[in-house]
Amino acid sequence: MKQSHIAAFEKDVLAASLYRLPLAVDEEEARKFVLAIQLLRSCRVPEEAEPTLLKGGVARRGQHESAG
Amino acid sequence: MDNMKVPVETLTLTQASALIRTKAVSPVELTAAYLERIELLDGQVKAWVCVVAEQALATARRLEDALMRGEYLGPLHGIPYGAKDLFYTAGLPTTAGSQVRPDFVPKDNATVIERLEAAGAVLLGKTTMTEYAFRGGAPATRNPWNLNHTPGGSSSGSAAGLAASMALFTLGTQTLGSLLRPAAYNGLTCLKATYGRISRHGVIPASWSLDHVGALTRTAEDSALVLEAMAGYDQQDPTSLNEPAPRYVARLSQPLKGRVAGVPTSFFEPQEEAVAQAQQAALGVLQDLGLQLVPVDLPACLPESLAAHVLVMQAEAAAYHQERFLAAPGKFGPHLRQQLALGCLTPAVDYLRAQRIRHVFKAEFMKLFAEVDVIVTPTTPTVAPAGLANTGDPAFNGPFTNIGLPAMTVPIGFETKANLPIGMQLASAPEAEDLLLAIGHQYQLATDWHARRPRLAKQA
Repeated sequence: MKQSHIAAFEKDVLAASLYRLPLAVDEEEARKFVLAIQLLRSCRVPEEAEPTLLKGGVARRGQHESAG
Repeated sequence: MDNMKVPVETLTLTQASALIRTKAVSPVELTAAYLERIELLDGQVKAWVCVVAEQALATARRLEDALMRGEYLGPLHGIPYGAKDLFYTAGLPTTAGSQVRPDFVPKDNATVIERLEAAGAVLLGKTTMTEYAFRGGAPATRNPWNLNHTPGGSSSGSAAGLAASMALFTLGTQTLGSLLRPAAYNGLTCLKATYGRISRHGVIPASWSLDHVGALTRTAEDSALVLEAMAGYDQQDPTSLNEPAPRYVARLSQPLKGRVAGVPTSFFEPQEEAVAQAQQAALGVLQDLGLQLVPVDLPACLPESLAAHVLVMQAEAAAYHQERFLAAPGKFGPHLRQQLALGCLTPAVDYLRAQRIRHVFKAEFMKLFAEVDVIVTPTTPTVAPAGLANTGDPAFNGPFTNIGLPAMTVPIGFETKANLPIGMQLASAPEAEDLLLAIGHQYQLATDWHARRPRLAKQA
């Protein structure tokens, strides 16, 4: 992965400057990371699918099945 | 009490429990025997971060007095065990394999430590692990079956220590493959229960929504005994299942005839011939036990779910470590530094998308259980790799951890050139731990792989 891609990614998320990250990310790790995010973004997720771990409260029968 | 020698090398928890209950062996004799074993062998294996001999013997004496008064606490009464060094243990250092807080001493016990104490188990000490239960920062721990190979990780010391017969069971955690993988590499039995079945309270997290607590044992029967003591609702863990745990031991002999085992048609392909051959033979034993084998196709969104798993781990770990990481990144090892940096870079919308994809994957996976009762795979693609830095590949364990399904490994053979064990993984629908334990138990009644022990030369 080219350095410019990583730079573009960092600019995209504005996170590097926000967190003042104390170290550069290894290019290979960054490449895998970007590919993973691209893969996730390409996956169709049904509207009704919730990030269920954030439902809160105590998991009970039925609820826990969505608890990752 | 009889002053018989305790056969620590071959003893199972179930057998030891019977010896205690019948007063053939006392808790002090049993504890002393395991402390002696650690003293003799841990110079080679390096499974322990700390051993609390005096505390353990004091506990054993108290339990022995209780037994003599007729106060029997149950099958774990006087049973020595070890805990991975990320479980809070009141008054004992808890490092999580890290240099970030080397002097951290919890004031309280983790819920599972409390429950085991109430059940009469005797804590021998804390076992080694990789840095914060990630894949880097492997300890110097060796595989007792072949000291030139890794015991796996992240529950490295818990697996190696138990394989070397330095305890009767050990505690570990799994966020990707950190229980089942080392258990398989060391010829052990291990059940990772449904997410929420065992409390995570007082356990230093790797990733909140993925972490599972579990016990490594010799046999499925031993696993059932420990699970009964640990499982159950805990109001201090917001993801705890709010229902009583079943009596697992009583269900070990449930009929298996007519049960259907799904064998995935993709992804779980062994990378070594010995693993493939052992798995094939194990499938034959399952058929002999009455299970019907059928091929199953995995959900199409498996690749996306794997990417989601990694992304969630990175982001949740970064959230947990954020302040200490940004203040002193040099205290973290190189692998974890990378993971935390990437976690800090993860956009919130992508983290949430990853969680949603996990939900979709689980919904798709659950459809398989309309057709089959369990999924059967090899536990690992290979036997334990050579060297200590690489703790092996958790790929085969990840899908079940990702969606919180119960999964279990049992030993099914050996790679004979390097003398390394091989494991079979069984996974089921949520809360069907009793079925996995029954299959494991009945498999172990038909085979003797779980009864094999590594030969370690005792040091002077």
